[in-house]
Amino acid sequence: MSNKEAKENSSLEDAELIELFLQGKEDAFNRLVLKHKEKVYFLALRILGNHHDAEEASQEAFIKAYKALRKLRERKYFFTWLYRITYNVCMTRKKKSRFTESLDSAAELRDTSAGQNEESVENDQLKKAVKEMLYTLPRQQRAVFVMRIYDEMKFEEIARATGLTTGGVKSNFFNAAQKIKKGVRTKYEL
Amino acid sequence: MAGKYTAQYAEGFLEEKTAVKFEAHLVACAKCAAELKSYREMINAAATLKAADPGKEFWDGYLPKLREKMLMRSPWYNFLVKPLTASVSVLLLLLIVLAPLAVGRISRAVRVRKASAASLETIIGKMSSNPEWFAAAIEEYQLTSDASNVSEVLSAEEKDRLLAEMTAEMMD
Repeated sequence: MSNKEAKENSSLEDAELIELFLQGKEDAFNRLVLKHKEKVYFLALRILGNHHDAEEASQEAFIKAYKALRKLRERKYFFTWLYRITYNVCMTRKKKSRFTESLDSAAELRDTSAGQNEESVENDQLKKAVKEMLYTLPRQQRAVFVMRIYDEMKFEEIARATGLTTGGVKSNFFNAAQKIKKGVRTKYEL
Repeated sequence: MAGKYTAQYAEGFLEEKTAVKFEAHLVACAKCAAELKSYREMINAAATLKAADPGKEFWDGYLPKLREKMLMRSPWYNFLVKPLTASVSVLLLLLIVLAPLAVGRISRAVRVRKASAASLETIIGKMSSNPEWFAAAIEEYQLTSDASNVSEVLSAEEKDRLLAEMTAEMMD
């Protein structure tokens, strides 16, 4: 593929890339992967909590998407559909023990504000506590929580991505938030 | 009231009427105000935690790795390439196991052949330089080896003919 063509493809919308793919241009699917790989990987990482599982799950999601792309009717919702596949792959992936998952996960998250010297010791403790509590949540609650907090998705979008009702999403989110807050308070006395 | 409305208020999900009522309540209730503050701090703390980036090398290899997985799962790969690869692997394994045996046999045969050729040259050399020795050696062989059994049943002419044939064969 020429540079010009590559540049044109990178600016194409998902629906156009899908159309090209369905016309037999295999490279259009590569463009979709390159465009969305980071979001898909990080969603899997935040739900599953470790790099290895996240890599496997995100690639599994792309393979499933590749196989089912012809059946996708609403092409403009490709990304939500892909997110849903990723979410389902993460939910059905064999669970490690909660203890192991918690430890791995804590290692994969880091404080992005570290090094900003105005942060108080108490605030650092709070972040550490939140980080650990996040991975004691059931996967579904954690998935909803990370989509809301990190991907800044609306509850309706999360509902489309997870297949839950909007009420169910809200309920999962508020339960997750309550559990983290309660856990932080009781376990870490913050 | 705090537990019920704090998170919903903070996320903007309370209806306007209820939200206004809750805001009025917050002014008077220190517990609910503290609860709301703590909720917002927790959400902010969570939002500042970002997942560690796996690095450029990982991202550069992401698509090739994915393509490799896709190829390995394709029906074409499973029904054609995989069985072929398996067959070639078995053949290679057999070759690795059997090759040393075959090489051993061949080199042994070559060694025997070389040794035979060397002995024959020695005999021919001695025979041409000393025909008497050769005749005596044949005689001795007939008397001392199993061949003596043969010599017992052969007539004198047959012995001479056999000796002449063997000599001619060796001289060729």
